Amino acid sequence: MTGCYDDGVLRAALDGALPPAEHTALASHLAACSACRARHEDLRIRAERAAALLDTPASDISAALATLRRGIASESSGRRVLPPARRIPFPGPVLPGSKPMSLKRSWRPWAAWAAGMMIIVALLALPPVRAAADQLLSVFRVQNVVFVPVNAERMEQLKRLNFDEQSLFLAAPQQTSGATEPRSVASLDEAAVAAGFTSAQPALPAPPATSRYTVTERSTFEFQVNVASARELLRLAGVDDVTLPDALGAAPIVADVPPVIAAEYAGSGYEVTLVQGLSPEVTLPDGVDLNQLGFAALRMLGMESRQATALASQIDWRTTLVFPFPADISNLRQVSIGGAPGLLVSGQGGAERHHHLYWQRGDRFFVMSGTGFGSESAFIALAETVR
Amino acid sequence: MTEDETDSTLLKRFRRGDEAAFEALFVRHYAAVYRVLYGIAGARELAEDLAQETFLKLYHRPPPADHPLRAWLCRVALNLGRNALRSGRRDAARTERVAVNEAAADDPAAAAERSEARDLVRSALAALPERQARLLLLRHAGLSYAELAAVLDIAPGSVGTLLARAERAFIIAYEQGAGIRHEEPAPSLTGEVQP
Repeated sequence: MTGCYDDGVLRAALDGALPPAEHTALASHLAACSACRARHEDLRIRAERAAALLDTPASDISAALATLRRGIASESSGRRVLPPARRIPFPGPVLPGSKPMSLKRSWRPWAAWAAGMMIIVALLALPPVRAAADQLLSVFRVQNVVFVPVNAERMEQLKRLNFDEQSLFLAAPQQTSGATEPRSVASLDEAAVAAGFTSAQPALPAPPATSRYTVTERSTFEFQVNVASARELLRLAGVDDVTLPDALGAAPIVADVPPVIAAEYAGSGYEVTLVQGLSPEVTLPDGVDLNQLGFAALRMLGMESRQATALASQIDWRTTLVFPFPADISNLRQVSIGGAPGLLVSGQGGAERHHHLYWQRGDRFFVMSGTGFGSESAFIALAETVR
Repeated sequence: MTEDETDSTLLKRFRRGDEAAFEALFVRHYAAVYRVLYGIAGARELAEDLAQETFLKLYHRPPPADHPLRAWLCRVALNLGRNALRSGRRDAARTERVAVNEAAADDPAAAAERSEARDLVRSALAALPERQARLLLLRHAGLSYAELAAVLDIAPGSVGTLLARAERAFIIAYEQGAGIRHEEPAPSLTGEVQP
């Protein structure tokens, strides 16, 4: 008999999951084909057997709802400002690959500020951590990253603070020099000339049908912190064992962002974008204690005082960004790219599986996004070819 | 009437502070979430506790209104279930359950038999690749093929094939588990071999 159906279609038919036209066609085929009919019957028996084995005792929904109501009521009546953050795992010593780089002569005091502020900004921007990452990448870059898992409970507390993040700034971040729009260039050579560095490239699975390159020129951003507001945020979050210095808001903070190269490739079955650039230079006002800011950031994330002290003293805050991520988000995880720590976010858009990967190598950062690579490991393997 | 309202409308209402909308969502989706968790936990108390945790997450951190809600809830439930098993909560719950059964069952032998059957199902599920086990549980909870595809990150067109394969593997694993017990009875204290 020609035009026989595979098990998948026959099984879907049992659940009424085929389009009506296909159902009709299948029914007339089954009437004529004894082989398909027999497989269809086998599948039906197995489906029923599996359902019987998985049989679940009934549950009492109204009792469950009453329990939930009680749970919510007791939570809101007995809520403490800051329950002890028992469940936050101590991330241990600084992750592999994030040991301080050899410091350049031009000491970069920006990273600590970036760490502290970005944690606050990232947390306030949750749940879209990815959006926070984008923001991070457009303004700050660092030489090392330590990912700190933050548990859901703490995330919820922070989200429920109802704090207006705009009030953190006396003067909101604004661009003071440089081009705002990326500029298209014809080739990677031209990109290298415009950006002042040669871009690393991935070994693509097949030659791309189209490629596009853009360069964002060097630019400068400026903003000023409202220290009173930042203190209020810490107080709201229940962090009472750290004092932010007045100096933090005494002068504007200037971020000098070096050029960024973006390369987009599309080939048969895949699309990938690789963005790369060098760390910016940000200058903090005098008199700001970096360790203290880092400690405040870790406490803000819910880490216990003792752990925060230990970790804050291990991290070289001048070169290391602490990046918080929700410990229980399943599509976001820490990965290793050739020994360097990276953060991978995967998701499904329609039928397409997409991945976004952030990692650092030396003073260069990379963000690679793509579709058509299937598994996470295939995407990580591609990232490891970036040279 | 809330029955006519879509999840998305109810979520929007809840996000504006309407607790009745939340309760409507709870009533609508509790059974599916509970089924998934019972499948994972194999113990009613633990499944109920985890279902509470799942809906507390919805209460505190609802997804965007355009999100397919049942799929979101099931994903949360799967993760909570997995974490609970890893952290040994099932063993604690099981000990509790056995104690309760022994104290309360009219017929301890029948209760023990039911408990053994549940354990066989749990072992059979545990023997499967995680994705197959999840597919079975989610389908059993009533998710549509589109929802299954979304939760498990698989192509909608392959759900039927994967489901057929998972059911076959599950039944084989179950029968093997049951068979092994028949062939190798637990050593008896009196030294007698059970027929």
